[in-house]
Amino acid sequence: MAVPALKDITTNKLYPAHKTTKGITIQLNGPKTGMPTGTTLTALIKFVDSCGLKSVLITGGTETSGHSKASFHGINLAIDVAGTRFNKLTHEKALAAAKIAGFTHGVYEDFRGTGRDHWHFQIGAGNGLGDKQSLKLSKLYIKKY
Amino acid sequence: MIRTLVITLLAALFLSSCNECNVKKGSYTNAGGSEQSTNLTLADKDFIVKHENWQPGHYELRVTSQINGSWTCSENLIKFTSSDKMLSAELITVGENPLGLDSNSKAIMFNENTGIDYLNEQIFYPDAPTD
Repeated sequence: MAVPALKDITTNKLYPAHKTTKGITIQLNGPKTGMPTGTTLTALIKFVDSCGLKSVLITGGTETSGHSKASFHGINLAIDVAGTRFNKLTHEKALAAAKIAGFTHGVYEDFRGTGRDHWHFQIGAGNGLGDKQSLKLSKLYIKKY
Repeated sequence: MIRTLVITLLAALFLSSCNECNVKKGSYTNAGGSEQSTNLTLADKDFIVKHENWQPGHYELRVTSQINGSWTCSENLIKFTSSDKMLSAELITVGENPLGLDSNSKAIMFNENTGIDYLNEQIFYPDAPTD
């Protein structure tokens, strides 16, 4: 299946941005955040197109550096979505959009409302995410720190 | 007279080569929102980079690493020297951004080939004062 087209709307090269065909902006938080490709890019586009926001700040993608050794980011199977400080989403809406998108496991990492908060969604179990973090469950797994 | 002129000229040349540093001491952190975090602390002469990463939902089991050394600065250019590496970074103006920062905000951005993958092109933003 072909990946839907994106329009590059970057105005500051430090913060790349793309628009989906539905007019939703995928905004990266810096030059180190890697845009997913293939199936995961399709999932990201479905996520932003169905979450209800006009612009979604993405804080993790395919970047291979800095993550844990078996990270799903490095194998292009995960995204991080900036938390509620930046993306005005409820956990229910984020979970519904992630399911529509085809992600199978996820967690919300809650660092007490700081800019470190984020939703992590991945395709497949592994690297710390198992049955407890399955998106088949009725509620998203939230980890408070 | 000529001797005085030469001394004055040499003094002016020396002073012009001693450019002021525009970088402020303090604590800086990358943008966050992922399963990794890096903090840079600049003291009078020394620096510390602390990097941590973790599996999603398992911050309590994070893996940490640290780089220490000294730093020097001329205008916006910063040189970091640790025991086995020399790293370069630059003080930048962030411009239009999605992080809610004023476009005139300053940040420290490492070069793309530092030899330490998590620092390459990493941007560090000043931490908000806690007092």
